[in-house]
Amino acid sequence: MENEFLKNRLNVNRRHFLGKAAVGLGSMALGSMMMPDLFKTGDLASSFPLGLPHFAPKAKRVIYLFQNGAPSQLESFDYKPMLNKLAGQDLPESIRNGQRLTGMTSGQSNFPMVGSYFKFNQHGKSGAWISELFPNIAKIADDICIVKTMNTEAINHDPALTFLQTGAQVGNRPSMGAWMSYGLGSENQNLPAFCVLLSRGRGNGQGVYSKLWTNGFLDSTHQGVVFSSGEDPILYLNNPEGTDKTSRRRMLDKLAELNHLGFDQNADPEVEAKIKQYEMAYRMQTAVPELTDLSKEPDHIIKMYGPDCLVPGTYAANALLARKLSESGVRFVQLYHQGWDQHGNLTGEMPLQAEDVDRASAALVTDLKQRGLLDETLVIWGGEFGRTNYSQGKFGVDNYGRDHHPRAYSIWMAGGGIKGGTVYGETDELGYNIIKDPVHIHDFHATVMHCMGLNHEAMTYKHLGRRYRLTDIAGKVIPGLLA
Amino acid sequence: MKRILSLFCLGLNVLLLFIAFFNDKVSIPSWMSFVGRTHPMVLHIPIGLAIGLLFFYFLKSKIEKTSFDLILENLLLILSFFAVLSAFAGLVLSFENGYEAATLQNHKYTGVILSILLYALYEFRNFFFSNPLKSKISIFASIGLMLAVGHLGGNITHGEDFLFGPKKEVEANTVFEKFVNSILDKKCKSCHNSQKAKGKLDMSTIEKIKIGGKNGKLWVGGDTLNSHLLKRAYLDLEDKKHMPPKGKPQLTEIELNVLKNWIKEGANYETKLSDIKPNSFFYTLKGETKSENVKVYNFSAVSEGQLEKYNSPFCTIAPIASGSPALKVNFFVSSKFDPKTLQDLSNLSEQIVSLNLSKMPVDDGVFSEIAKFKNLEYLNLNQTNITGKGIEQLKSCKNLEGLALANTKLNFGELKKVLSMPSLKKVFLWETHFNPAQQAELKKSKMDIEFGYVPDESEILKLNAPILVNESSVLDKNAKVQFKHSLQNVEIRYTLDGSVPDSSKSLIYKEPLSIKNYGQVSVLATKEGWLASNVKNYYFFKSDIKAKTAQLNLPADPKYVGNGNETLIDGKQGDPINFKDKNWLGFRENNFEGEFVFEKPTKINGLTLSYAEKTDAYIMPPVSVDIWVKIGGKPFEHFKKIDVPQLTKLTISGTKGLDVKIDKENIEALKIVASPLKKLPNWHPGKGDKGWLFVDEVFFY
Repeated sequence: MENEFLKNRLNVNRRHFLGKAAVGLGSMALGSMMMPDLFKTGDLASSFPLGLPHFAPKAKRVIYLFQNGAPSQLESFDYKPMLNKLAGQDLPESIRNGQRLTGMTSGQSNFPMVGSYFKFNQHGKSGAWISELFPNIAKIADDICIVKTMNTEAINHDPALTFLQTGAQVGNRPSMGAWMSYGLGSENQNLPAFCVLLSRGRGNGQGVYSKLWTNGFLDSTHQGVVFSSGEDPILYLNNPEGTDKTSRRRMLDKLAELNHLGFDQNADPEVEAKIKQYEMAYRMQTAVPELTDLSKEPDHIIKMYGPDCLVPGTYAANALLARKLSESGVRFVQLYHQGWDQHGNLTGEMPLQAEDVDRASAALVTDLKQRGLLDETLVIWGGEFGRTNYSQGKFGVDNYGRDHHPRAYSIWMAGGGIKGGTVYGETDELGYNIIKDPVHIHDFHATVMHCMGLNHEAMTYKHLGRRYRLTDIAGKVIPGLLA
Repeated sequence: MKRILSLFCLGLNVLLLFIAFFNDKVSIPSWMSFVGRTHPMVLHIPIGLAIGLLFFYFLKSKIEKTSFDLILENLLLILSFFAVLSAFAGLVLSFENGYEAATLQNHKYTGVILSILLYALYEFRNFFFSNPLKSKISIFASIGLMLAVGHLGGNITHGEDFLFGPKKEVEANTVFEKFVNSILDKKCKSCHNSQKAKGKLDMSTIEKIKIGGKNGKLWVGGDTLNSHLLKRAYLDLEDKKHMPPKGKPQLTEIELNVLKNWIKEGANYETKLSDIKPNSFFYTLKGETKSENVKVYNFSAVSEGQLEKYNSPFCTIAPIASGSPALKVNFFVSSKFDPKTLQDLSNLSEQIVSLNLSKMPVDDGVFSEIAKFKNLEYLNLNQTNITGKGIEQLKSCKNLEGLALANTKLNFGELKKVLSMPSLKKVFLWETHFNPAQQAELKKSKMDIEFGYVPDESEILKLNAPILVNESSVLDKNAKVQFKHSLQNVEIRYTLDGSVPDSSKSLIYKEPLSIKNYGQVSVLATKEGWLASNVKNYYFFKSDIKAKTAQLNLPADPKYVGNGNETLIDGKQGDPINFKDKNWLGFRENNFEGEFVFEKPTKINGLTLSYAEKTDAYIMPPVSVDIWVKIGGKPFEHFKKIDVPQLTKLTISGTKGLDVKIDKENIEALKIVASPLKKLPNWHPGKGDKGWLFVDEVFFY
């Protein structure tokens, strides 16, 4: 964006520019004679055009089912019977090994370990252990890859969420979806390339903020578009009363003319972004009603996703909408389901949370699969960090809470480019530390980008004098996750 | 002046000849090396002058004879001067190490000859330029010789086949060739080649690279710390041993990374691009290469400008990846579908490998169009009007692997016609309504057949709970509570007394409910063939009378001050998840003590204190509530103390109300004092700690 502003400033006074340039060009010529590479960027980034994958991708689109608040891995996908045996015993310092604590348990005098109150069973050909809270996800065990060794650097929700979504804990970088929109462009120009759907569970929740779907320093066309959780997912799409399609079209044409005039004066790229957005909004007037129309779908999708899928704003409805958006070429659909922050009353709240998401999450994967779309859609399910293997506050076998745990947690992925029916990585018997195959957030990003046909080191954006990547200066593709 | 210059030229030419013949008997003093290094600069001057001479000669007819002769003389002198200077410098330079090749010898002698020839041209100009033919011969001969000398010199610095050799785009198939050697080409080989092997290092062939230079091998596979090349590259730029030397094009960050990782991964010259392991540094880099893992397409690419023509918001066509000639095509928005667009695509029939027509209004006629795309690999016809008639035409798409026909009225017999296609790997047939026998027959075929989700009739699902229509749980005077359900034929049952509704005995919801005062409505939904829904509890707050002013006698906790006094009577409730919400007032150290003044003495039937319950965040109900009333201008009188029932376990968070019957006339003002929990009970994780009290509103009716 800085470039456009510079260009404009140069255009403003041509004589001034030419005057300067005479001296400038001379020294540039001298410089280029002495250093032939002076004007060659020469790095990887410049060798790839924007808007296309760097190499043939496995996945063309992403649906990220974000479980906001950090669901406990110990009651979902990381089975640790040892914790049930040792229930109530203090976590040895040798295991905790200096791990910092949150303000919520730092005052605790001991850390009584506690095992899952919920039963685990093995599922699928891989024999993956999945808790009874997720009976439907268990049914698609052969389609998903459970990653048990995700680890992050942040220990509180906001920095952890921001880290996972933008690759940095400080919230000014573009979100994953914005990067994908920037790097791969939009498949369907009638819909935003990056859509965000929000829902709220019944458990203890944590907020989500627009910085999680921000375009950061990228053009604002790459920003996530939040859909409303009401009856109309996109508000104000209908023409106001007394305005027909033709006059709307004429109004937009005139508006675009005015905007172009403005652009010629100030060259603000946001003006061009605005023009594009108006045009897209106009096309969305046709595209969206078609998108949300359920009449051509068989009745049994209600049973598939669960009856909540007809109630706008629920997780199930968002999962169904996510499938429809993705099917219509939306590059990145991001769901957030709030309510997974079980510091206390885990045994009471987690079944409610799981009930909200289990059937619909599994249905989404099945639905994509049966339409032949799973091979080209990457589905990700998981939260921002894990939960401790010890109880926060008073300990009880049937009533306990778990604090934040960044060292190891579980997520699952399915579809495009991911090796389904596998469990990746191992944690120790107490579920505290990783003993094999860690997957850091940067690695996760690198792997997701790889599935999308992007070289995470090559997709950069120059801002404030340095090139930025989603993976910052780290990250490696994890081959064990790839099909 | 002219004389001195010509004498100088003569002298230097003689010296030149002498050194050239007796070069092994001459030693050059070290200070002279500076003169030697001016060679690359000075040598360009005679070239320019010689070309100038040519142009000047052609202007002969336009210039007066005497002037012409004078200028010619001067021009030739200057030319000779710079030529001999350049030749001399070159000769000195040739004494430096690293130029031990035949090319150098040739360059040296021809250079000396050229210099002498140019001097002769000057000295005997009257002979050489006596007639036009001789003039032309001398000029062209000297320029020709100069070209030859220049070319030989160029070969030394740029390598033998720099000019005429094939452009180095040999299909690199090893990691070394593709990534490492290309960097050496760019950044090292100008000084380390067969002609100019500085430091005795010649990088012209793999064998020579393996040998290394005078400091030994360039690298040790797997040992980045002891690899000479890396050591030199990572030295400080100012360091004399830094490579490439200061002033030469430096290695970029990425190039350094490539070299480092290649050495780290064993410095194996043989690794093929196709053998790169996914955990290798080069795995993602190779994406841009056409290695065997990536499908190679032999057809030609369509230019970007061409593609532009076919693209529209409703039909997008793009290469599958950067640099690939293969195209994928997507159609969007069925109401904008134009069959002509599809017909036009036959111009791209070779390139299209993926076609998505799902939801588009196409019927069986589409197969003849699609059959033209002979390289098609993936075809999506989900939710279209096809029945399969003519589907056998797809057999001309010899590479078709994936065929999605879900949610169509596909005819079984027609489908069978394409199942014999050898390329076909996956067929998607969800919602095609084939009978079990047909399905069984299909399952026998060698490919993957996906029937997808089939509802399990025996599985009985739990219904979702009724949906509250009201947007706020605050009910004004005549407002009613309204419920609905997303499915047809659902019965909603409810209770108003806080008891759990029963799926067969409780009241059936028929019309919006009137609520008299604060209260709980519990609802559930039932439907034939479904399990009853969860029970949902809603709390409604009745707000008939508005207080004129509200005032907090003790301040709220500075972190949760809401919108000040107004917060209590603005009719808005706080978000039960977000306590930073400006509708909340939080109390921990202080009691909540609010005074409410009414416009005029009013009859108050009751009031509801709206508070939050979020046990895991220490937000608890108040311990006790005291009500004071002011009637007839008298001071506040204590009216009632209510001990609030306390919680006995962690609960799901929400907003609750404490309802107090007042039933008094002529109330001018009311005071409410509510105290937060001083010590959290034993069952609570934070036992012994102070609890919080969060209040968002007080309602009167």
